[in-house]
Amino acid sequence: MGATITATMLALALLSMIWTPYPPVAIDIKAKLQGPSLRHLLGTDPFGRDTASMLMTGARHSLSVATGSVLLGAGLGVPAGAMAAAIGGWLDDLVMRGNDLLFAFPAVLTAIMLAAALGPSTWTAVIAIGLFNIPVFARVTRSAAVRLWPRSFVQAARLSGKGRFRITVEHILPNIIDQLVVQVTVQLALAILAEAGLGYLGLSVPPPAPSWGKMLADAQTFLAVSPRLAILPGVMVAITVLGLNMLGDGLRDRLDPRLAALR
Amino acid sequence: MIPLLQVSDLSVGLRGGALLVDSLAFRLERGQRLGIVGGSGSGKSVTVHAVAGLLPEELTATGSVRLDGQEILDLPETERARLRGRRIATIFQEPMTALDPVRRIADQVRAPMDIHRLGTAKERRDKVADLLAAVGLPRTTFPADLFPHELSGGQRQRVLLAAALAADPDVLLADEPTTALDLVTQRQILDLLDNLAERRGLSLVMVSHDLGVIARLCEHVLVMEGGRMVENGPVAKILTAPAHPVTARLVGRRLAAAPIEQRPRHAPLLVARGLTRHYRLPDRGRRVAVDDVDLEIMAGESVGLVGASGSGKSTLARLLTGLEPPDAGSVLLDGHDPGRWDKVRHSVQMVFQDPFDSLDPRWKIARIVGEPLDRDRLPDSEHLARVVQALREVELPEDALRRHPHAFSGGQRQRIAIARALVARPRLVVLDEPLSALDVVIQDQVLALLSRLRAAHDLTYLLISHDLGVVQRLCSRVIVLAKGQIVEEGPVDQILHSPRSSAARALVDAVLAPTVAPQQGPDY
Repeated sequence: MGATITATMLALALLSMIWTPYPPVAIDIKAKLQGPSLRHLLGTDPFGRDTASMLMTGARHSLSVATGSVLLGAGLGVPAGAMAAAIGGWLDDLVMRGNDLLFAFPAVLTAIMLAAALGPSTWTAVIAIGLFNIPVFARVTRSAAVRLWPRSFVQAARLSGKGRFRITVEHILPNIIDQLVVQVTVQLALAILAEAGLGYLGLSVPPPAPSWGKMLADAQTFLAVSPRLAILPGVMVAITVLGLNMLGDGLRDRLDPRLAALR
Repeated sequence: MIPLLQVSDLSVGLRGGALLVDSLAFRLERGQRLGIVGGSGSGKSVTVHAVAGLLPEELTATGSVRLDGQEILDLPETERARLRGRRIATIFQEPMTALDPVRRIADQVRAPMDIHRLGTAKERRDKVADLLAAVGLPRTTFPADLFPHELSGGQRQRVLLAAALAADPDVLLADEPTTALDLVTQRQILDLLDNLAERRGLSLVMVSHDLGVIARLCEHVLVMEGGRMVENGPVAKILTAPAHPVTARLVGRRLAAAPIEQRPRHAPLLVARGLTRHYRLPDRGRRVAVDDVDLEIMAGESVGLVGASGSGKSTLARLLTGLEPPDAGSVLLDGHDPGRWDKVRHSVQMVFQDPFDSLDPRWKIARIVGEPLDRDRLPDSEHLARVVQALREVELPEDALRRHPHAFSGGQRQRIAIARALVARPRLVVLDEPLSALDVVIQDQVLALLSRLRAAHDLTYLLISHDLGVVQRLCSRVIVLAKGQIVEEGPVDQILHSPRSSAARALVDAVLAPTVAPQQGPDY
C-alpha cells in the first residue's frame, strides 16, 4: 500500500518531466479560477494555470528536494556514525557532541534562516533540510553499529586480522542497512513536509516554478472563493507523507529479522 | 484419593498441523515432585505451558488436565486466570527477561497477592518480606525497592521464585529454572527449591534437559522424546536401569569420561605475565576484571579455565587472544604479542559461546568459514579448497557452503564456527564456553569432534567453562579463576577430588552427576 502510493507519486513526478496536461507556468487569464472540468481536470488558479499540471511539477520538485536532502544527510551522517562506533573514544565524543549541537537548533527555523541567507533555490532547500538529516542518520547508524561491535561474529572478524574500516564495510553496514532503509523513508516524509514549509515561505524553488508549499501560500488569498486550491496541494503532501510512512512501516516489518525467521 | 494434578491423553498441536505433544498422561500427588526430561524439541516445555494454560494462540491442546478432579483445560480464560498463581504457579528459564524492568522487586513479588486479593495491605507487605528472606534475599542486604537490573541472574530467579510462591499455590511448574545460570548458582537455586518445596508441602513439576538437575530434586521422572513419553518411573530406577535408548543417552553423558591424552610437555606456546585489566565503572570506581595473572600453556596441552560467572575468565580470554589490550602485563604467543604481530594472527583462533551470535547472518557459510584467510589473498581455488576441507573436518556437507547461517541448528552452527577456527590452521584454539548454548546430546557430539580434531591437527586448547564436568572430558590441566585471580591450578583429577580453594570446591559441588541424591518427601 505504502509502496503503491509512493510509486504513484514518483510516477507523476517523472511524468511531469516529459508531459503535463498544460505547461505548468502557462498563464491563461481568460480561464482563471475555473472549477474542475474536462478541459482542466482539477481546475485552474487565479492566473488560469492548470492545477493538475502544477501539482505534478510540484511533486517533482518536492520529491527531488526531499531525496537530495536525505541523500546529503545519509551520505554524511552514516559514515560519521559508523566511524564514531568503530573508533570510539574522543572521535565518538566529537561526532556525538556535534550531533547534539545540530539537534539543539530548531531545525525548520534554521533552515528558513539559511534559505533566506542563501536566497531561494532548489539547492538551498536541499542543503537546509539535508543539514538536519545528518545527525539523525549519524545517531541511528552509531547506535545500531555500537550494538554490533561486541557481537561474536565481529570479534571473529577481528581475530582474522581485519581492521576496523574493513569490518565496518563487510560486517557492520550490511547488518544495519535495513534499519537505515526504514530511516530513509521516515526522513523522506519529514523532508517533504519541510520542503512544503519552505515553499510556503517562498524559500524553496524560485518562482515561477510551482511547489506544493507555494501553491498553499498562494491559495490563502482565495480561500473563500476557491478552497480547492488550498486543499489539493495539502492533500498531495498528506498522501505522500502517509505513503512514505506506510512504506517505512512495511519495510520495518519485512526486514525485522525476528519476523523474517517466522516466514 | 483424587490426585492433585491428573493429565490424561494430552495432545498439543499446531492448528491442523503436526503434534508437539502426543497423548501424554501423568499424575501428580500432593507433595510429590515429578521431573520431565528430554532433549530440545521433545515437547516438555510445551507440556508445561499447556498445563499452565499459557499456550501461544497457534497451538491448541486437547485431552484432559484435572486439578483436584476439576477439568481445567477447557476453562474460559477468566477462570484460568483465577487459577494462575493461586493454584498453579510457574517459573521459567530466563530470569533476565521474566521480570518487568521498571517495577521494583517487592511490587512484583506482591503482584499475585494483589491480583487474587489476598490479605490486607500490611499482611501483603509482611509476606513479601518473609518470602524474599525465604529465598535468600533478606531485607538488610536486598532492600525491597531494588529494581531487577540491580540483581544478578541467580538473584532474579530467586525473586521469580518468591513471586511464584506469593499466593501459596498448590503446584509449581518449573520450566528449566536453572538452565540460564552458572553451575554454582544453579546448585544454590536447586537447594532452595528443594528446601521451600519441603517446608511448604509444595507439589512440583520440574522440566529440564539435564537429568542431573532432575535427580537432585525429584523422586519420579518422565522421559519425553518427539512429544511422547518414552519411559517413566522412580529416578533411582531410571538412572540405574534405563530401558529406553533416549534415557540411556541422557543418563550416560556425564558418566562416560573421554580418555585424556597425556603428552610430553614441549616449550610453552603461550606465556602471560602480570596480566591486569580494569573496567571503569559509571561512579568513577574501578572493577578489576583480571588481576595480575601469570599463566603458561604448553604446545599440545589442553588447559581448562574455570570459574563462576563474573570471575574474569572471558576477559582473560580476550586478553590472551589480543582482542582487548591489557592495562598491565604482557602476552606472548610463540614469542609475539598477539595484539600486535600480524605473524601470529593465524596461530590463535577462537570458538565463541553463542553460535547464534558468532556467524554473520548476512554472509553465506563459504564466506564465513573462509574469513580468517581473507587477508592472505590466496588464489580463489586454494581458498575454496581450504574452506571445503575445513567443512569436511567438522562433518558438514559441502552444499552448506551456499547457505546462510539461519538454515542451521545450534549444533551445526557451532560446527561451522569450529571450521572457521580450523581453516587458518591455528596452533592455539580458545574455546569460550563452546557447549553451554547446546543441548546435552549435541554437546556430546561436539566434544567428540573437538577431541578428534585435537588429535588430528596437534591443537592446543584453552577451554573456558564454568562446568568442570565438561572440562574433565577435554583437558588435562585446570586453572581456577576467582575474582580475576588464579586461586588454584593443577591436574583435573586433583581439582575434582581434592579441591583446596573454596572457589574450586563450589565448582566441584556444582557438577551434578546423575546419581541418586538422598531424597526426602513421600515415597512414590
